[in-house]
Amino acid sequence: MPDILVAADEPAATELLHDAEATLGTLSRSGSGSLGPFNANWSASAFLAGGTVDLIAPNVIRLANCELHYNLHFSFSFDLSNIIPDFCLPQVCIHIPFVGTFCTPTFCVNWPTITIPVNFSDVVRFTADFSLNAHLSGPTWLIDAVIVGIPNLQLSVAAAAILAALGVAAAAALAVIPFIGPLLAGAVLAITAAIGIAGVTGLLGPILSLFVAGLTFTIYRQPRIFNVLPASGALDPAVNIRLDRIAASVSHTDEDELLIEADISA
Amino acid sequence: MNTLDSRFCRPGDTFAQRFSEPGNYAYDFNLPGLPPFGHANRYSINVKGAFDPNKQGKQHFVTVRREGTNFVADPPKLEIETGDLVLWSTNEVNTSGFSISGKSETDSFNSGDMVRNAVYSHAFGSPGEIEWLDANAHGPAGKIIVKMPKTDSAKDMEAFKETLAQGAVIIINGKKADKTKVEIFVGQTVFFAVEKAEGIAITERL
Amino acid sequence: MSLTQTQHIFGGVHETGINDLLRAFFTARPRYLRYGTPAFVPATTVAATSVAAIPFFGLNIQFLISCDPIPTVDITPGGAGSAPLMPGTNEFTIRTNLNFTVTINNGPRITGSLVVLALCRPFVAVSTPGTGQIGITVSRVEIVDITPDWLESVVEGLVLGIIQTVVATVRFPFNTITAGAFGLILLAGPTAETDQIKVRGNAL
Repeated sequence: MPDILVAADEPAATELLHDAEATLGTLSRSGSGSLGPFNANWSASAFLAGGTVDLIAPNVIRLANCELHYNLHFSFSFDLSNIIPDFCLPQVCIHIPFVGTFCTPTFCVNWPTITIPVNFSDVVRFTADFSLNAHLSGPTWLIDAVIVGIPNLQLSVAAAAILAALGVAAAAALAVIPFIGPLLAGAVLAITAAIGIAGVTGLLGPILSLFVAGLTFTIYRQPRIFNVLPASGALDPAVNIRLDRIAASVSHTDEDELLIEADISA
Repeated sequence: MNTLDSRFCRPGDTFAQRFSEPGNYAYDFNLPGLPPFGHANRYSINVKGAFDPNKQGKQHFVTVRREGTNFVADPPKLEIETGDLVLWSTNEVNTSGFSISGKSETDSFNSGDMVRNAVYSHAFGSPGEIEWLDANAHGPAGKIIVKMPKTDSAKDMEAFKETLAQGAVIIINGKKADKTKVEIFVGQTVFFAVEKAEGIAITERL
Repeated sequence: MSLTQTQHIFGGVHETGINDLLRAFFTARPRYLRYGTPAFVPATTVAATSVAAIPFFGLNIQFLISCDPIPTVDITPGGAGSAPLMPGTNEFTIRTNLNFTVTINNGPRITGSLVVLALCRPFVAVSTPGTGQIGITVSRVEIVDITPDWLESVVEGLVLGIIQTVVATVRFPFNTITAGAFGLILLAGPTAETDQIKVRGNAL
C-alpha cells in the first residue's frame, strides 16, 4: 500500500487534461514545404482544448475529439508567366485629321513574379491514446501523458477551405496587376488547379502533424521536496516531506479511475 | 503601375509628334514640367522639306530603353520629311516613366507640355472610372469609364481580343476636349490628340 | 468498489504515511513535543515551549515534559500494540512515551517515563476548498500500569491535557492528502478506516 493514494474518476481526469492543455499554451512552428508545384514558406501556431477522457487500464488515457485550434500563414511566389501566357496588346491604328494615320507598336505585358500570402484558421479534431509516464526531472516529479503514435487528422474539409481561401488571396494579389482583369479568373483557376486539394493537404498535413507528434501533457508536477506547511513565524519553521516515489496508473473496478501513488519520508 | 500621365510615359503609353516645320531638332529626356535646359541634347531629328498638310506623312518609331540609370533613344538620329510623325514608346517596366522635349531654331515639342499636332496614348489596364485633366490647368478635362469585358468563353475572349485593336480618340483644341466621356474595355487605348493648345499635360485626377 | 465512489476525487494517507508526516512535523517543530517551566525552558524557542510554573501550597514546582519517541499512529483496525486502547470506527490510536523531570522547591530532580496511548479522531480543522486542513482530536488516553486505579485516573486526566496540547497544532493539509495532484473541495470525510485517513470530494 503506498503512503498516499489519490484516485480521480473520468470527469476529474478530464478536468486534469483540460488544465494540462491550457498549461501547454500556444505552440508555434515555422518552415517551408511543398504546395503542389510551388514552394511555400509558412508559420503556424496552435493550441489544444477540449476532448473527453476515457480511462483504460492499466495506464492509458484516451482523449476523444481533442481540438487542435490552428492559425496558419503561408506564402508562395512564382513567375506568373509560368501560369498564364504573356498578354499582348496589338497595334492600334487610328486616323487623326491633323496628325494623319498612325499606329502604336505592339505591347506585350510581361507578367511579374508575384507572392500570394494566405491566412487560415480552423479547428481539427482527433482522438488519441496517451500513456502515463511518472518520472523525476531534476528536482521535480512529473506525470506526463504521452501521445501514442501520430493520430490520423481528417483534413479534407480544411484543405478545400484553404484552397478556396487561396483562390481569394490569389485574386487579390493578381487584381492589382495591370491588364490582368480579363485573364484574372483564368489565372486564379490555373493557380488553384496547379495546387489542388492534394497540394494543400501535402502542405497542411505535415505542418499539423508537427503539433501532435510526441504531444505530451504534464498532468502532475510537484517538487521532490514537498512543502506540507509553510513557516509561520520564527518559532515554527516550514514542514517538508520528501516524495520518494510517484507512480500513475489506471484502475478498473465498477468505474475507471486514474490512480496516483506516492511514497513519502520525513 | 499603369497611371495615366503624359509626363511619365511607361509601357502601354506612347507620345507622338507630327513635325510640320523643317529644322534640326535636338532633344533629350527631361524632368517633366521643367524647361528643357541643361539637356545633353544627345538626340536629333532632322526635318526637311516643305509642309503639305494634306499629304499623309510617314511614321517613325523610337524605342526608349534604359542603360544603367539613364534613358536612351533608339535610333538616336532621324532624318524625316515635314509632315512625318515620330512616335516614342518604351517596354521598360521598372521605371517612373520618361518625358522628352526638344527644339529647333523655330519650333519645339514637349511630351509634358503638348502644344500642336501632338498625341499621347494610354492603354488602360484596370477597370474603373478615371477622371482626367490637364496638369498645367489650361482647362480640358473628362472621364474615361473602363469596363471589364466578358471573357467567360473562348468566343468571348476572341471578341475581346479584337476590341483591343480599336482605340478611342479625344481631340483637344484650346481649352476644350471634344468628348467629356469615353467608355472602353480593359486593355483598350485612348488617344489624347492636341490640335492646338497652350501646353497640355494629360494626367489623372486623384 | 471504486475509490472515489459517488465523488470525483479520493485521497487516502496510509498510517505509514501519517507517521512520516508526524515525523516531519515534529522534527521541524520540536517545541510542540517539549514543554518546560522557566527553570528548564526560560523562553520559548524552536526546540521547546516555555510554560508557567505551578504554585501549589507555596511550593515551587518546576517541570520538563517531552514526548519521545515522536508519536506514531495505528489507524483502525488496530494492531497488537494498541491493545490497551483499540481504535474503533473512525478512530486511531496515537502512541508515545511521556518523559518528565520534576523539581520541588529546587530539590533533587525526579524523572520518569510513562507509555501513553491516546484515542483520536480526524476532523476538519479548516474547510476552505483547496487549502483546508485535517486536524486531530483526542478523546481519551490510557496509561499502562499505574496503581491504584484512582491515581491512574488522576494521571490520565493530566496526561490527556498534555496530549491534546501536543496534537492540537498538527495539521494535514488537503493538498498533502492528494499529494499535490488536486485542489480538493471536501464533501465526505475525513474518515479513519482500513489503516488510512480518507477524504473524498471534487476537484477545485
